[in-house]
Amino acid sequence: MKKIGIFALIPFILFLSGCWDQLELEEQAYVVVVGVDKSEQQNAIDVTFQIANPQVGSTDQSQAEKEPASQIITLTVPDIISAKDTANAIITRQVTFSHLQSFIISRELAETEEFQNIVSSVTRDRQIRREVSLIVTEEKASDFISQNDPKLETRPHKYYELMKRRWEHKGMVPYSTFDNYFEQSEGKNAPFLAIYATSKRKDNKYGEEDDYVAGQVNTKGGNPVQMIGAAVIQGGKMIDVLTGEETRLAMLMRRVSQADSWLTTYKDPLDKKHRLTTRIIKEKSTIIDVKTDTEPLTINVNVPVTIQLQSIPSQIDYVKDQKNQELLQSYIEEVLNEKASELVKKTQEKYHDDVFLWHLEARKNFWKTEAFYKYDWNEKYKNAHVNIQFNVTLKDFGKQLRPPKAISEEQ
Amino acid sequence: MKKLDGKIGLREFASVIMLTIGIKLTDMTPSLLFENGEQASWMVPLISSLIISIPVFFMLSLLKKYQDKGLIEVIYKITGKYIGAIIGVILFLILLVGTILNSRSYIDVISVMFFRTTPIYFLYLSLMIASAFVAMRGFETIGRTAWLIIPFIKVVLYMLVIYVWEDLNITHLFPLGGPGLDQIFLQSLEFSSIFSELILIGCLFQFVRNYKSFKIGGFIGAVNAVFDIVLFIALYIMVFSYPSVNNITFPFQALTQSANVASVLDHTESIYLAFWAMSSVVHFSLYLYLTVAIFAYTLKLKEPEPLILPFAGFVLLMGLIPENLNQTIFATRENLLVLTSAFLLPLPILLWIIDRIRGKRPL
Repeated sequence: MKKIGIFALIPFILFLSGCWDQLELEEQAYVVVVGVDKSEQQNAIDVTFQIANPQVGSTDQSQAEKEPASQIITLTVPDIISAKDTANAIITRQVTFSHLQSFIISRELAETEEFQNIVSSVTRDRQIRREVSLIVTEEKASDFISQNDPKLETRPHKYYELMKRRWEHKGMVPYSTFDNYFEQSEGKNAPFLAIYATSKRKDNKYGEEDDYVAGQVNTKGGNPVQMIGAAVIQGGKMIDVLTGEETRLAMLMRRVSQADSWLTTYKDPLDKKHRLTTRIIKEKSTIIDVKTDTEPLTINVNVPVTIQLQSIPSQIDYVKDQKNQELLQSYIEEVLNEKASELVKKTQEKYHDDVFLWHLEARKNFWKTEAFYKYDWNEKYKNAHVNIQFNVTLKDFGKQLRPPKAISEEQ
Repeated sequence: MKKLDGKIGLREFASVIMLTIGIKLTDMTPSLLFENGEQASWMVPLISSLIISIPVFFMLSLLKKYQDKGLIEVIYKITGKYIGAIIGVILFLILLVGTILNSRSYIDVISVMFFRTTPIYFLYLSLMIASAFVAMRGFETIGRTAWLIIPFIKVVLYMLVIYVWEDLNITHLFPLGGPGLDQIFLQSLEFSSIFSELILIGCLFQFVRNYKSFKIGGFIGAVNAVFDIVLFIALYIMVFSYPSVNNITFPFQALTQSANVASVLDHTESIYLAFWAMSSVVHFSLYLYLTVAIFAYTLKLKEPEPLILPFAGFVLLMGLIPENLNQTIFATRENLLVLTSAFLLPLPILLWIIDRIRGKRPL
């Protein structure tokens, strides 16, 4: 009796191994990046796929020595998902989105109403994850993808994976994924910050270490692609660009930010010729106190930051001199406060809404959702009193106790 | 080793309850709640469970009085031949329709999220065969299977909380009151049948070793299940934020997709598919068994087991009728839940009152 039972199970092995949804690794084409551009055709878009070649950079490379690390194709199609099949006119493998890392939209397209439609239609596809990063590029997305030539990474997915990890901590670009976008845009019409990038080097300027929009960083050699700053998306389309510095400040003023440690320089308060390099560390969350019962709306923001002094080119003793330390501390606080206030003013005047997720804090003051909508945050925020106070703690000064002094001839 | 006698003890009973109710956090139940519960949806199951505990309390007192008899027999005893049969048939129909709708929605989850091209009838057939296979061996096997897998399910489930920890944003839960407490309470009342198993399982009272195991096991299971459901609904809101979460068809699957284990493993959903499939089989084996048992006891048949296979086939055939998921779920399931609440909530209380009146005045 038992034996018959076991034999009866054998047909199941055939069934359960699956014939319908089987995936043969050899037959997959993994799309790492999707780029979307406005098309010359009506009601169509240009979709660019960068498809990774899994054999390159693996131990299996000897089998495919002459194959490139990735293939880039551009198609003119009505939408992105159907492009998967159209792509098969060129590619022999099954196009798969399950390892998609980044979704790139050109600025030209992002500035139209189509942006919202494209982004929201894509998430219906079950292979596309909600943590795919959303990038807006200055030029056409297809140009950006083909220009992107990371020198240190052979495999394209590695490039985006590593970039993403750097972004999270350095704060030069916002943390922008599909998930963040829906979170912020569906709840209310809050401006959303997307990563801004370009592969065009243009009107280079000297903006210290972070006062740039993508394309302005003065570099020579290496990959032409620059990702710095943020595209501001509001009401389903892109309306503005923030510089790297503004993006960092915006990240700092949010309650919690993923970006928690970055290098930045300040003018030396005692020697205006030199700049001090510091590492800003945000260990504690920002304290945001939104007073919705006052007229006008009052927002008190307290940003605790810890600063490590990394280099002191001016050779002034900040380490042992208590007075200098206090001076430096209040000076940095002042600079940060001032810059932050400027940014807040910009958001009040230009976007009529905050990019700091303060409205989420304001919601705590209401018991019912309805009451919050009635409060009309946007209108109130426009004229709000915002008090920003950075609290700087000098944590350490690197491994030198005092600057090594060169003895000049006169001495 | 204890001899098998067809009865289960406290831990098995608790696991069955935990699994069959707890699994609702993974299906479309949360999606139903988000519609009107908004940010405060997580309160709904909490209040619902409190509401349903009242009739459960009355049922327990009845079951205690009529030792060793299932709920259906108790109903017959109290209300007589004709009314008893009507109540039995209604309970049976509720469960049958529930089984059909639920199983179909589970199949849709698998079909939409994982196996796009596999025909639905094949997925459905696999689920029904597996569930019938467990159910045919009786309630004891269901209990033991549940007890066997519950530790793994629990560990994997709570691991998910850790995996999504970075994406949690507690401010998404505000305004705390959501649509207002009156709305929440109404929702809780309507959807209290999410926990209807707690009453229906009374029909299988005779399979639990004793009254104490039934009471305590049921309590432990229910508290666990409620905790999990509340926790996960809150997690969905914290990760996806309110209006956004309402647009996601399968929040649990979306959550497993966005979970990642450091940067090593970021396609965790396949692991969860495996554990979820196991729990679904237990869930539906209990549903099948319960449906068939109510049917059998209403018709005063001795053995429900031989009927399970034909019923599984019937569920399969009925479940294949709707063309797509939204036809089944949003139209029918919501109505069914509300109807079930309306019928099940007062039932034990009425039974108890009738029992009291008749007890004083013997016929």
